[in-house]
Amino acid sequence: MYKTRSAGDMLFVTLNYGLLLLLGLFTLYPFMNLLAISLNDSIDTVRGGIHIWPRIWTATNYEIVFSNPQLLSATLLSLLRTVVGTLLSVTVTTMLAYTLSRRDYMLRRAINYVLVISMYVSGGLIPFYLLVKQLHLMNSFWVYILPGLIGAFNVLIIRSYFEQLPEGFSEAARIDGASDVQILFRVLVPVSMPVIATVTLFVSVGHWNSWFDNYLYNTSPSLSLLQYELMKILLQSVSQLTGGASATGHVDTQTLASTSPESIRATMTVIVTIPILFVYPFLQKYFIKGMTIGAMKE
Amino acid sequence: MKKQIVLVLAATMAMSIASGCSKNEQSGASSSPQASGAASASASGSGAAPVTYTINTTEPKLTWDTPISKRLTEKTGVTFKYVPVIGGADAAGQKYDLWLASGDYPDTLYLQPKTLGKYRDAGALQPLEDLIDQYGPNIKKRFGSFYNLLKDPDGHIYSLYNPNLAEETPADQQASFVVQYDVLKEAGYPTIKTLDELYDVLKAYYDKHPTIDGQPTIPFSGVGTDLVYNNPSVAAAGQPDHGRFLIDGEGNVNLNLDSAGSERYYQFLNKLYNSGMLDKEIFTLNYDTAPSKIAQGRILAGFYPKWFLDQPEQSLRQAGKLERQYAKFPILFDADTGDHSNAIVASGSGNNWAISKNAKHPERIIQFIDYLFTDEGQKLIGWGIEGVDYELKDGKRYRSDEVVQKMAADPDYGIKEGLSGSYSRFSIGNGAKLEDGDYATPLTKEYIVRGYDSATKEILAKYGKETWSDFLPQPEYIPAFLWQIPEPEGASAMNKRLEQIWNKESPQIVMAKDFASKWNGYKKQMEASGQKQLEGLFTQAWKAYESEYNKAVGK
Amino acid sequence: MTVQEKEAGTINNQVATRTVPKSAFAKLGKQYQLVLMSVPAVLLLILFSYVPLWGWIMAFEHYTPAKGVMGSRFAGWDNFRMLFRDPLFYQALRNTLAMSLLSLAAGFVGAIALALLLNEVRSRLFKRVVQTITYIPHFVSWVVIANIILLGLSPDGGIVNELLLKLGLIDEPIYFMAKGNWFWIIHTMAGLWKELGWSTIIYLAVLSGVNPELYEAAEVDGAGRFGKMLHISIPGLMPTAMMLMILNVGWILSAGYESQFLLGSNLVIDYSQVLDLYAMNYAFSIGDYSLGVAISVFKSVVSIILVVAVNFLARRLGQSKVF
Repeated sequence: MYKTRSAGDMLFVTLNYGLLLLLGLFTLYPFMNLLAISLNDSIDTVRGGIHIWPRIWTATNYEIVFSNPQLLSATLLSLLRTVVGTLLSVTVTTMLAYTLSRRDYMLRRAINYVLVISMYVSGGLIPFYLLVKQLHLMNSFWVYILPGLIGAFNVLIIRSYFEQLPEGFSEAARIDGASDVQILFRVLVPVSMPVIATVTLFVSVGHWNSWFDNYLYNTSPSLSLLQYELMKILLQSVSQLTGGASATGHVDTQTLASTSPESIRATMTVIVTIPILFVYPFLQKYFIKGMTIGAMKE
Repeated sequence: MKKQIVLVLAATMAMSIASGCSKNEQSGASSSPQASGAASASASGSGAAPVTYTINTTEPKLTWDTPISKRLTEKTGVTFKYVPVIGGADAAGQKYDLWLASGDYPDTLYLQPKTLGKYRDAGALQPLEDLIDQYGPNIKKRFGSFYNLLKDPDGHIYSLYNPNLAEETPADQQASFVVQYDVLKEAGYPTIKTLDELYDVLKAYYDKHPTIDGQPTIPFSGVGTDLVYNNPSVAAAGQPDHGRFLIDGEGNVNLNLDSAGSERYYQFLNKLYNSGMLDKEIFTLNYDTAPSKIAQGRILAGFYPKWFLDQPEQSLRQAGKLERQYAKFPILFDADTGDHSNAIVASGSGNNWAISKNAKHPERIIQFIDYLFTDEGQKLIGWGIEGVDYELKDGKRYRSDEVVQKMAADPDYGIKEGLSGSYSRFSIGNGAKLEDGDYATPLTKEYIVRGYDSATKEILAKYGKETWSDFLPQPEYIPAFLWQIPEPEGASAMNKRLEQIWNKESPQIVMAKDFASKWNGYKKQMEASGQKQLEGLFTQAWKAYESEYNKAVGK
Repeated sequence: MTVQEKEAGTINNQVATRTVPKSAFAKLGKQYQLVLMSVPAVLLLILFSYVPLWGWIMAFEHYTPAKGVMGSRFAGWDNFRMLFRDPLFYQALRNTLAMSLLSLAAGFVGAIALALLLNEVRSRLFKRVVQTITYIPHFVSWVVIANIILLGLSPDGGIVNELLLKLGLIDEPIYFMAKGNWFWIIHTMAGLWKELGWSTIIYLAVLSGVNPELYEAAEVDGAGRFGKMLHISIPGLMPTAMMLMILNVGWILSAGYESQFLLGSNLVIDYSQVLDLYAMNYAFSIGDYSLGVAISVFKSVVSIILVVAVNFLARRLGQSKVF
């Protein structure tokens, strides 16, 4: 494509790479810092000064986190939630976005208003909690999926992408007698993979990271999620530190914590983030320039 | 074909809602907090029939599957199932409010008086006094003349806690003004009684050692807001810790935030600041960033309570910097300031147990608590199981080095054994004795001394003391700490307003070039913002409590 | 833009005239597939987003958990009156607006710039690696980020001060976190650091959807790298960018609160206190839920007005719109 390279071009490329490299180093630091802290002795970590390399290597922090017997089942449930939640949510979101991208759809305007305004209103925790209870969603897997099934923001992103596509596409299909469902899934979705991949990422990360609904609605251990179990371990280390174990101050001086909240927090973040880092490059292949519309035009 | 896809997708959604409901019916029945106690309790009629109750806890790891918990069940037939509530104070508070709004609370509630007050007002708690009359002889016996303290103004008892029966200062208590060992060594182990003496000792050391391990020496530092401005001035005035208030001999409650004592303490900080001896960033140090500075060993002195200092000191020991640990001295404004800071209150009210309307057969819970108050129960929750967690040595209960080592190696030892269950809160206190004349808990002087390192023992020997608690004045009984009694209505909003001024002005006063004018401006601002009103509210509440207290204990 | 839309409009008109509905109901019947694809989802949305709004009643009463929403004392407009009389409320409002606008501007420009720069990278591996790395801080909690910043900006051996001292730019370490008027900037930079990579993802997705033929055509016309960026990439991003802009304007009263809480201190409280923190102070420390809900109602009303207004403006200017 680009055959000749001028001096200005070369300068731009060099500067661009340099700038991005610098930005990369800058944004990598927090994670490297956490990785180092998670692998460093927790009592030593208190002294500070750990940057990107541990001073006293240890695996204790990971051992403590992984010693939680519920971690495996919680991880599996988190995976299940992420997969089921993302599949359902992205499908429904895409369908809704499609109907709203159809300018002739009669309910379009009304739904648009309902959708957009939903982003800016909240009744607060108490009414929501009572609603969940009324719907018999307490202590159920579906409380993880249903309330957040439709994210208005994601619908709008996909809608905007659909609207940008050349009108000719769906028109041709329609003239061939295709139904709305066929147009959506056979024609539009294949060329909209970049935006669908993006929304998939947003939704799945949201599911993977959430724990508050677990905390509020599901007390049963069999419905425990990974993030929730990790939060429990973190809290445990905090209360060990402050001697909150019992109200009477019946805490033995000699049994000091073998780990600190700082170390546990770092370890948690590493454990939770690494799977996401593996998933992203997988989705990135849908971001490749030119694979979409150009191909369709043939 | 095309229709089918649409229908399937629409049906999936409809089904997911439906199955959400049906799934809940299966799992909900067994695991919702209120159901379990009712279900199993209804089957029980006789005394020791097994019964299970739910109780909330903020300790996620707590389990009833421990030797001590099981022993308690053997004795009483009662089993508790923990309902963990995690996420810090704010998130937990939200959950308690949601429970109350929905009626989903556990059989037994383990909450602070403030939250329990909301439950009481909503009619969610069962009054306990009749049950105690019938089933709680040991509860009455332990509380003795303090029994009436359990009663709310309406005459009912809604929650239970422990009486604090300590006869001496618990051996793990320590003052919160701390000075580095090395500073004391260099000064020839002086007795530091006043802030001025502290200043001189710090100055001498700082002049000689402007750096420690190549980094700048910090003569004085702190953490947070209250621990920098409020608590130290209360301690230096020799007053009990009533939070941000002082109570005079007549029972008048005064705000400490702009008291004469505070003025003196701000002056002390101002002096440190202007001579460059105050930590430059003391105003922004938080509980995450402050420990690392301490653990670097270059802070010479400060005001750090035990619960905060333990971790950085452990880090210092691990790094081999034994001489950078801290001596804990009660330090006062003047040599003749009377020290009344070592206050003991009879009421152990803090996180209390209440029985909710959801609990069937509440008498079983009362009987359970009653057992805890027997000597046998106290030994079990305080010391553990004889031969496992403790042994008898010369007739005295003793925690062996072996057990101590096990505890040090496994921070969860207490939880796994059952030593730290939610029932532990019914211990009658460190430093208290049982009827057999021996201590109720293992935190004895002997035990504390055993945990000290060589440098600490050496320093203590120079001062002719065994533990840091030996530096404290004689304990004095007071009716309560102000923060234990219910907050008067309307006080929290006023408090907040004054707090905002205090928050904002405090650093400015400490950094002021012209201290007097800054201070006076601040004091005027506080007085103009409803200080007198707030003090009036609290004085009224305190005096009411005090007269109730006097009546209750028969004074 | 306008031309495209007009074209789209005519096409749709043709579709509409082609079907010639007898009545609105009949037309809707024709669109049953669209109805099935949207209405169940919208009903679910209404259930979880709008039904709980009965909680707004709390803003008009003196709510106590003990008495419940139905039993609490009615207060009329008292809570709002109290709010609008409190000078601290206006301070919090000012801080919220300032930090929101700064973050909005910085985030907007930053994300688009980064997306454009990444778009110019030819090496697929380099692009992927940089993209992945820049979005990691999104997953690091504010506590961690804030502590890194506090340590880095510390006047007692913080790396920034050490650097400035070594370069001879300053003689005395600067106590960054004590300077009220710097707080907004520090907060904006911190937010940028944490969220820049994450907010770029969406723009990259849009850029990869731009028709490559357009680039090729521009190249034939002799457009250089910047020409293509200016005439193809940026216009390609505009509809999405505008939409995000409109949506974000609606969130202008929600400037986040974690970073302000963690980075703020008594020294800078006049600049760090935002509406959400102000509300939390009431809801949690004072236990006044009603005032917290009143603030939330206020925020919602302002948001909706703003979004509708900006949307109207965008429509007038012929830009893409949300509604």
